[in-house]
Amino acid sequence: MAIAVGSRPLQAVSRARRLKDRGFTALLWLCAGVALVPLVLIVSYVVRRGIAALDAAFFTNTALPAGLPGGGMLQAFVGSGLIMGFAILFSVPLGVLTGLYLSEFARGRVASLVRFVAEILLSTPSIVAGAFVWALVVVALGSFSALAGGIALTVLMWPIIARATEEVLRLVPDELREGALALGVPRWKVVLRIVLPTAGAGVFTAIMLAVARGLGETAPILLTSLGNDFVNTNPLAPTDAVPLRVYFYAQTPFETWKTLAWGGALMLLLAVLILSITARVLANRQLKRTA
Amino acid sequence: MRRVEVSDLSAWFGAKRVLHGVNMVAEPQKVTAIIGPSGCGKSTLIRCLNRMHEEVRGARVEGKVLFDGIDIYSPDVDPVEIRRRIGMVFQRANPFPTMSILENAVAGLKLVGRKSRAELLERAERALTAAGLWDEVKDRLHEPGARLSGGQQQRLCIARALAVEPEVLLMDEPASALDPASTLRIEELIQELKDQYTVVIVTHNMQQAARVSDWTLFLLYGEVVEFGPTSKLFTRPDDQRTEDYVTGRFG
Amino acid sequence: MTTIRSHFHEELDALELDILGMGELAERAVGRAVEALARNDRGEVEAVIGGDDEIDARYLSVEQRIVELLALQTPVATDLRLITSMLHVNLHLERIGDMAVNIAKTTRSILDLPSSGTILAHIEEMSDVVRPMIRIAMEAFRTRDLELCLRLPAMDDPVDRLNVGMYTEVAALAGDPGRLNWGLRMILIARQLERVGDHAVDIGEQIGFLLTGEFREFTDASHPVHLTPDVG
Repeated sequence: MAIAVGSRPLQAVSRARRLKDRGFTALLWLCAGVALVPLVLIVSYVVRRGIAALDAAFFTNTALPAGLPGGGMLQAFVGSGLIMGFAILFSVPLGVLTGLYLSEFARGRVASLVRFVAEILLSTPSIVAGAFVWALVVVALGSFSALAGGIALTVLMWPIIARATEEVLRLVPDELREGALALGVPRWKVVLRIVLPTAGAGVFTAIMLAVARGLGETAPILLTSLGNDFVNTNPLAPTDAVPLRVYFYAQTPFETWKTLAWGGALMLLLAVLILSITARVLANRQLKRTA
Repeated sequence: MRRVEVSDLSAWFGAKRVLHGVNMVAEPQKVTAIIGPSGCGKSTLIRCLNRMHEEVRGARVEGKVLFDGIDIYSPDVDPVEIRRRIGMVFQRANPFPTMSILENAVAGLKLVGRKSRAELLERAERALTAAGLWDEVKDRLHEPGARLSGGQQQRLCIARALAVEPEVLLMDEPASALDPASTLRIEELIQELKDQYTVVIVTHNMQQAARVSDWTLFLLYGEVVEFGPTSKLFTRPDDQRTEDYVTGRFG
Repeated sequence: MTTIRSHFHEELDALELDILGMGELAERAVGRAVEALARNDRGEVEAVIGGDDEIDARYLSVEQRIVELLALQTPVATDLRLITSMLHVNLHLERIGDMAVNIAKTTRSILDLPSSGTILAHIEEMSDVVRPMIRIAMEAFRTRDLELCLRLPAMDDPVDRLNVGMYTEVAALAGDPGRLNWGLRMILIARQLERVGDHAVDIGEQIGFLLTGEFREFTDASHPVHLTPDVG
């Protein structure tokens, strides 16, 4: 069906092109599906194997010798909490202040240098970070500790927080800074009372992403916290953590322990999923606010 | 109310010079307009009047700006203090998104620390009334500032600037992002405000300058071409370039 | 919303008041000039001549303010028509004032000469027609009344007739040289009054333009006037 407009007739879409469009669309859907497959497989498998381990004992009991039923991972949960607590305590101020510095105050070569260092640390193999902290903290203190584990995770987490914070702060329009400066507000107050709160949710997102990463790290805490069969609240003593337990139990031939390992893996997966999704939701809301 | 006197002012962005020896005076209870084609340095000039120009990396100023007889660029003058006495309203309304209408209005007071709730409320009412916004927002002071219309947001920013009780009000194209009706309201507001302040306004809309101002400065490539009473510039300007610009032969 | 551009509209109102005031002054000047002629009053003649300064001063002021308003306020639509019609009316009123001065000056030159009662009566008759014409034109402006404007051409007819009739009457004085001299001056005065009438009609035309947006000459006898008021 051709419609004549001016001197050239307009053609309707040809059948050949329609087939090509549909074919290409189908191919793209297929690729997306293929990409999703590993995620779906992992999640479903971990859920299937790990669900069996989830009972009251899992959450309330500490480790028992192999073969004995009723063992749990309480000490791992407490330990992860303790180590993560230190990691957050150190990495959040460090990361946020670095991000603030890079976005609001630094210019030229100093800024590039700091950013470069952060980039390197971001891509450092986590075991290298662990070895570094082992040499510095564990040897100095004379023992493995939750504190050392926290420091090791900090090395990995603060670049994430710093870079993400810088990005979010950059999204805050300059007009807001100018508006505040023009009122006769000193620059440091402009940054702290206007810029940072405006970026607010974005910074929180950055922290959550860093925590999600830190929760799952095994190698660095292996070299710094070592692990423990019992609940430990002393920051200067060896401490257990969920990934450590999973690593340890998974290598043994004992069924009870292997089941517990799957349970731990499931808990880690859940934690990361929840943090990531919350971060995404908050990021979207933040985007709408500063847009 | 204070007089602002600009004496041989030059300004740079890095190595690029954008103002060449500008001389001008803004009298109290008068509106002084700065007009000129895009890129002529109007915004730079007005930003030199409250030391906002130097906030840009690599920006530099030479010359004097006398406010109440004191050069605001002398080393023992605090720029932050100057900005409290010389307020500014920008082209695009920029209410703080994390604050309510009330908080926005008194942001300049809250952020520098003092004042009780009662006093803040009183100052907010005065400022919002002066900006012609009080009646429209008095029942929703705790709503976010960003929920107002464009024209209302701009009036909120004007209220915010007025709340710190400056002596001079600088306005950088305050209505150029607004629809014609809101623009005329802002112009009416400026006529009311000039009774109490020294007003300097940058505008790329010549008719607006004609309607609103008492004195007009025509700036071209960073230089003052003509500075005189508005009625003179628009009826029998001295300089041919002014004539060409206002009649629309270029610009 | 009613206070937008209040300064501009206040200024327009002030100009209108000033022009109405000028109308009164001009009309009174014409009246006093003719009265001075009728009563042979030297003092009144000088007063009329001196009084024109005020009319001229107002004329200049209105002119200047209108130019400024055009430059600074860029009026459009009714505002623009109001301003341009005021510009013209201003000029017509100033000219009427000048006509009154001309009458007074001519009177001054024939104050001691013998006169003719009939001719004087006709002059007064002309004055008694053109002065109400000025008043009606000003009233039409004040009340924005198109119908009043349209009356003016008809009122002008007797003035034109009396003016033309002047020649015959003065020619009849040929046998009396003293009176003839006086009579020739009366022709001049009659012509001034006839022009006052024309200016009044012109003012009516301007008001017609203000009200309808159409510009038509009233005094074109071959085309009857049908004007419709502008809705805005």
